[in-house]
Parts: sequence; structure tokens; C-alpha cells
Amino acid sequence: MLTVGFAELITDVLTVNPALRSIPSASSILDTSNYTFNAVSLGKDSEGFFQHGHTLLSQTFNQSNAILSSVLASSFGPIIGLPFLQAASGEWLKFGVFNDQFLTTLRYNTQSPSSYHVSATQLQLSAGPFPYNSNPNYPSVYDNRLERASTRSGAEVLRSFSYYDLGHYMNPVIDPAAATDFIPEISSLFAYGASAAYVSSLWNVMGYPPSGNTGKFRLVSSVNSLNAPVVSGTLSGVFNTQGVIDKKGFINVNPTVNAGNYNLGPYISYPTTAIPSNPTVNLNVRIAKGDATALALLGGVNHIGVWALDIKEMLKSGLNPPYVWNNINNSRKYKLIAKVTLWENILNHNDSGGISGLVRLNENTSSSFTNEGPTVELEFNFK
Amino acid sequence: MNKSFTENLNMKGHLTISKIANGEEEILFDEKNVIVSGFGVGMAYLFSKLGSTNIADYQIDRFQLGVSGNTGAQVSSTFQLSSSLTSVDQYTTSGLDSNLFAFTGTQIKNGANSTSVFCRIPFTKVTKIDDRSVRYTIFLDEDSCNSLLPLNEIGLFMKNPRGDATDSSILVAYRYFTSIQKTSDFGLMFRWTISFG
Repeated sequence: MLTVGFAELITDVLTVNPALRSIPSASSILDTSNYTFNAVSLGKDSEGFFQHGHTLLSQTFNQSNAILSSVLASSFGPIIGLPFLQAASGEWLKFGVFNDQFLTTLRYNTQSPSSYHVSATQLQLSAGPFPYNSNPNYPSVYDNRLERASTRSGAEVLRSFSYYDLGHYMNPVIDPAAATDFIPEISSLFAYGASAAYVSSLWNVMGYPPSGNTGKFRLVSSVNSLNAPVVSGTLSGVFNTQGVIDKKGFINVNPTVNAGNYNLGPYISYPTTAIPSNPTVNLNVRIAKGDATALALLGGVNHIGVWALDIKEMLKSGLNPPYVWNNINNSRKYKLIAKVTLWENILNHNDSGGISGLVRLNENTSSSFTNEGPTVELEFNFK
Repeated sequence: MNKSFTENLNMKGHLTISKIANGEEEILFDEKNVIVSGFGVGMAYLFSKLGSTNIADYQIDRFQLGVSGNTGAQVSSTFQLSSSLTSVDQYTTSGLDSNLFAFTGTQIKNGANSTSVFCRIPFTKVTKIDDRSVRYTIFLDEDSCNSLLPLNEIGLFMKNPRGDATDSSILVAYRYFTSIQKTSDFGLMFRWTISFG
């Protein structure tokens, strides 16, 4: 579905002043790369960001956990409304060890017991006093984000952070300067050992895994069985390994058309019966291995967003072209121009042949996927 | 039923034609128009990165007038006017001081190149009405397009979406209108608004 952002983009195309070509410092505004598909983002239902792997299990903390064996007393002492665990020595527990640095998800499905079924979680949690509505927002042409409601993580301590609430999965693992994004109240905790770096370490309750097989996941059947997971493993984030995703979860589109592979992220292609007889353009998106597994454990993917550069906003904030991609310090601002919303989770999986569905996603076991992971081809038909 | 690209984008055109004489303006025509498939072709070139790398080549900067317009031509598959004016002199009325800049150029007709005559739309006559609307203002002064068959069709063209060395333009909007016999007694103002969403 094309959004009003697409209409605004076309209007910009038709009305940008061609005389800018004669001004060397401004001529790059006329570069067509500023007006095409620039990024993709992935998302799900807003309430899902409170559930699934976003939950900090330490909120119902298991004191037998080995990492905190030195904790003599556990008390939730709110400071500025935030719960913390205070060790007897007075040393504040560092955020990063919450969930033992694992992306941890509680499984409720009994079928395919080594896979994670979002529907089973929805059924389980809906039986409680606060029913879980796992439906993603219906798409609207007026949408400027994938999910209209808040998508801040359900991890209670994180909900006080003013970290990004963009409507889709974020990628805090590569955020080196999260301190500037803390709300002022949090900065007072720096004196107690809290640090900006801990935001990036909280990828395990927020979004995409890091590169290099340093991420860990576990699927557990209960809070009391954290040390005996149903299935566990390491995660290597493909998008982060490729350097094609920024901290806000925008995945850069490969500038090379018809790349034919996903080595540099999503790519644009067109049919062999070329324009103008067949004015169709495709945007190919793949979610592979560590990314697929992590997002599956975090509740799956129901939305795919396609973004163009928001030239006006960037110029307004003093950012002049060219707008070069830099995953660590991405200064680009984006405008949603199209989105796809699906009732079904793209990352639905099941155990098969005795192999966990999560393992199949993560390791492409027995070459389960032609492209190492689920792929989606978004067709833009300009007829 | 699958919608076309322009339908998905809720893209619409509206043409108003006014007669300007003795300082007064009289509306002669006020109807919506059809956005033809050439617009989608241009956008496909842009988003596939197969076309020009200069965004100005995707802008509407020229028009044609014609004398054989008909309702049958008001379909999205139309790629040319039924009978467009064929010479620069027809636009500028040789010997007089027309405000139009007419020239001979290349037109893409159903995928093939063809020589045609166009008139420039100066960028100063392109107005961004709001975030999703653009208006093109075309004025034929008293010295333009006189002594011809009655004018009854007009088309807007995208400059050069393929990025050819010589601009190759494609029809993106078309409208047939009630015949107007242009004379030196009056000017004609075309206000063409294209809106999205």
C-alpha cells in the first residue's frame, strides 16, 4: 500500500527547482538517489513489544540464577519510579545482565515444542486480566510509521527511557552514544554505575542481534527453567554483520540495482521484460539467520515498511546532501512511502524432521531456505 | 479488481481553461482529466534506477496542443495527442511576439522515438499548491496559436525519464476539451492541477 508519504515524494520530484543544478553546493539535491527506495523496516503489533522476548524476567526474579548468587537481598527500590535490584554491597545491578544477556522467550505452545508460536502466547496471555491483542494495526494511507501505537519495549525499566519509539524493531546494539537519548532523570543514575553502554547491551530485549555470533538466545518453558532451556544457541545478526542497519532499525537498500543477492541488504530489481512494456519494480527483502531467529522470538514480523529520504526535514535541520549511508552515525531522516501489513507472521516456523524451527531459521539447517532465510518480494506496479 | 498505479495513489488531474480579454477572465472549461500510463512509466524508470539520474528529467516541463481531440482518447493508454500542432510557427504565429517558447524535440510514442513539437512550461509557472498538489499554468497570449483549426486537446509531458542524451519526453496527462478558436482578440489561460492522495 502506498502512503501519503509517496504522494508527497512525487510532489517533491515535480517541484524541486531544477536551477539548483547550477549551484555546486546544492546540485546534489537533484540526484535521483534522494527520491527512491532508501530503507526498509520491520515491525509487528504494538502490544507485542510488551510481550514475548521483550520481557525482563528479572521482574519476577529467580534468585537461584547463578549470576546473582551474590545477591543477599533483593529489593525493588524505586528511584525516580524505576525498579532496581540492590545487592547487599550497595552495588547497583547492571542492566546488561538482565535475562543473563540472553534473548529469552517463554514458550506456551505444546505443538512444535522447540519452536515459538506467537498465537499460543496470545492465547495464554489473553486468559489473564489484560487480554493481549496481537493484531497489527490495519494499514492506513495516512500512516507515517508501521504501528501507530507505542512500540517501546515492555521491559519495565526501559519504558522510562526516552529511547526511540518508531513503530518498528530497533537496533540499539550499535548505539554508541545512547546517553544523549536518556531522559534527564536517568542521567542521575550514572553515579550509581549505570552507563550509556547498557542501552546497547539491551538488544536482547529490544531488537536485532549483534554481529559475530556474540548474541545468545534461549526458549524456555517456564521462568524456573531458565538454566534448562528447550532450545538455545548463539545468534549472529546478518544485518549488523553487513553493516546495513542503523540504530533506529532502518535497513539500507542496496544502491546497486539487480544485485541478485542480499549481501548488502534489500535490493531493487525489475523483470526481464523491461520498462516500458512492464513498468514493474521489485524490492527484495530477506530476513536471515540470527535476525530471523531473534525477531521470531520477539514476536515475529507483520509489517514491512518502505522508506524514502525526507529531504525537507533534513534540509530544515541543516543537513545538506549528499546523504551518505553510515550505519553507526546515520544522519538520514526517512519518510514512510509504502507498507505491507500481514495478519500472518512472516517468521512462522515449526519443528521439522526432529529439528527445532528456531534452529532451522538460525542455521539454515539442511538448506531450508534458498536465500538463507525467508524472503519477501515487494512488487511496485506502475501501470 | 486490481487498481492501476494512479488509482492506488489516488492521483487526479483537473484542468481549467479561461479566456482572458480586456482584463476580464471567463471560464470556458473546468473538468477533471486523465493521467495516462506514461506517468507510471516515468516513475518506473525513477524507482528502478534505470532512467535518468537527474530528478529534473522526471519533471513536467512541456506541453502540446492539438486539434483532433476526442473522448475516445481520454484513456490511460493514450500516448499521444490525436493531432498535435506540427510546427513551431503554429504555436508562435510567425512574425508576431508570442510569449511561448516552442521547439522541436523527441517524443516517446508507445516505446518508439518520434519527432514532435513542444512548448516549454517555465519552472516559474509550476506551483506547489500543498504537499500533495502541483499546478501548471500555461498562458497563450494574443499572439499565440492564432488562425489554426480550433484547439481541443492538450497534453503534459515528462521531460526525459530515460535519461537519453537528447531529451525524450513522454505524455503523462491528457485532456480533450470543447473546441476553442484562438484569435488575437484574447489570451487563453490553462490551469492544470495534479493532486495525489
